[in-house]
Amino acid sequence: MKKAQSVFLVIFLFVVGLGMVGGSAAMAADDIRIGFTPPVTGASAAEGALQIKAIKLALKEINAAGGVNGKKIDLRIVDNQSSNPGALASLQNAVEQEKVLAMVGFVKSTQILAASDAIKKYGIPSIIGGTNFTLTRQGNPWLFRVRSDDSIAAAAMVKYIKEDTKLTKIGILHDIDAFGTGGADLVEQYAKESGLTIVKREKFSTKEKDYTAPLLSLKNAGAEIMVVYAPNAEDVALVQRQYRQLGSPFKYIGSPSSQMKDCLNLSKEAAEGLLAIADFVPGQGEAANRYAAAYKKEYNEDFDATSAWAYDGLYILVNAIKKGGENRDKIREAVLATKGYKGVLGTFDFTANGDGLHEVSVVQIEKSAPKLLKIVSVAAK
Amino acid sequence: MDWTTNLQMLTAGLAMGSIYALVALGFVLIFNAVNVVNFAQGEFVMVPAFVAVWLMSYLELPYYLTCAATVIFMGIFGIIFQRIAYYPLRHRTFLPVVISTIGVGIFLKNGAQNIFGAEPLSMPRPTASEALNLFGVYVDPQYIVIILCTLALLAFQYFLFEKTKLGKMLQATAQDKEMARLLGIRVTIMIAITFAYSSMLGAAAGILVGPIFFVTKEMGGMLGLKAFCSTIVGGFGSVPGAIVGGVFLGVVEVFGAYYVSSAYRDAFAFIILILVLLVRPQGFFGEKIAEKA
Repeated sequence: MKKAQSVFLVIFLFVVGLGMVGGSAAMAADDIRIGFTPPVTGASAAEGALQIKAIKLALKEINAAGGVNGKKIDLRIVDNQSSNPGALASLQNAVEQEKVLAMVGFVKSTQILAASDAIKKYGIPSIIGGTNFTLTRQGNPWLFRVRSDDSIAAAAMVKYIKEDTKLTKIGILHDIDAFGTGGADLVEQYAKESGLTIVKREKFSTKEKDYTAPLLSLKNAGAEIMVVYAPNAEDVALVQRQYRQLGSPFKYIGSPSSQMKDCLNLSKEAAEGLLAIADFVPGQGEAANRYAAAYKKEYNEDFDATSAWAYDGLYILVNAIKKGGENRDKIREAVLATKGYKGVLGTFDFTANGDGLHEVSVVQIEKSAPKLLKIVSVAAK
Repeated sequence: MDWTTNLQMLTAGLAMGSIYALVALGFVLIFNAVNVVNFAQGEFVMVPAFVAVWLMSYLELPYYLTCAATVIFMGIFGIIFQRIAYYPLRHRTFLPVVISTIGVGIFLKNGAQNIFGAEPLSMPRPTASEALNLFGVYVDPQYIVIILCTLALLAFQYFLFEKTKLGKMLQATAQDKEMARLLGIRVTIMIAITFAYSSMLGAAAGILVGPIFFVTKEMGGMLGLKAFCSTIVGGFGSVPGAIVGGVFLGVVEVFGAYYVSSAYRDAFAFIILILVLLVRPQGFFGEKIAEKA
């Protein structure tokens, strides 16, 4: 028994040792290391796989074009395990073991909040994709957001309603979770500032099945257009169907989940003609079209809109390294100085607090796909 | 307080109430037969819904054939369920069997996720998806179908239980197993039939409600809980109580959501449950004095 155990122990240590040595020997010593921490395992693994595809496409193009002054970009991918502790661990691993210069980081707002202190302590430039309003307003100078935050979607909705539909009576239907309530609060605030009236605000619990009561309530309150703010495709698809069942008593404009593929697959014809906000929709610009074509060529499938931020993120970071060199402070300044960069998601104009994108697209559903109506920019606040 | 809105909600409430009634009926029949509360009753609605979607979307069977196949499948399923979850524990007390049914429920939910994935599925509708406009009231035709089918099923059940010999035997088994056995009734078979029938009621509920909502592994959970509340509100162990309780709950929910608060819609079922337990614990149709199990 004892002898077998000690033999096993030796073999085990040997294998572990090999693993540790093997990892770092792969790339040439003077390549530029950038870390990427997607969810490879766990609940968000499917999204993580799409993010990896997006960023690897960018990596391939950047390195094929010569990298940064002849040096190749070495992308180190570390799994964040779809959890907050996992996110923190992946950050630590990327910085301390993989010794990366800068990061393309997390997309889930909750993970970003969990890792924020560590990012600040390390002083490492981090591109993030989370949309919670407060992320870039907590005094962490190392976070650079490459998607429009939630306040922009809400502001764009109100702006579109006022200027394009010319309707003034708004009814809000929202999920009671943080996303829905936060969005509804912002819509209400911006509506009041713009002189529009909120006739009623109805809420529902996530996974609610029957929306007859809130829809009728909004109708009887005299709403001309309904804002639907909710994160889950399943719930929103049901709202769309039941809204049609009740005879479409008012116009409809929804948060991004209203135009996502999984929602449209469920609501089918009910969604025809409805308005929604989208981060990104095909045909909204040259960069977007190029991305769509390159993605199709590389992976033989249609691109996914919600992972495109990783593609833009790597490009913006690499451009900043080109300008500022391999110095973290200089990279930081260079990112913040990025203005007028035409990325896939839109035109990036970084503000001092680290927000890069201030526009979203208003789309209309046509044959179960979002069609671009207008790109709405919102002045940075 | 216009009557079109109220009529609209009444229809929705009656439809949901009918679904609760069907599931509650399944509960009560099993309880009466073998003194077991089947906590997997909600999953008895979820499983046939998935099966029906699979048959219609994957094998592309026509609608009525799918319904027949699903009901037969659930009948067999009920017998197997009875064999696995109830039969080995039939001489034990109340609790082990209840836990066993909870276990089967969890197994079914995760099994469904493993087989069908976590995405909600859409069930093809037998009725048009456009609402009917009756006197200014927009009604989803599926609601009418649910209400009519439930009435038909209840009529069928009444006929079966009261007017046929099989029905009498089932009732006898439910009332007193020992006596029924002494009279020559094959009790084990009667119990199997009860489980099968209860599952087939679940199949009906699943097929009827599937087109309105989406088919997910979670759809059985809340449904089962509310149906359970319905049976208690209506009087536990009472068949008409289960039906009345279910419809009552469905209607109160919708009106509560409109006039009080739509975020707390799910709470109404449980608030009513608590009120009934406080004020009239035997429910609408229950007896004042019940036997100890």
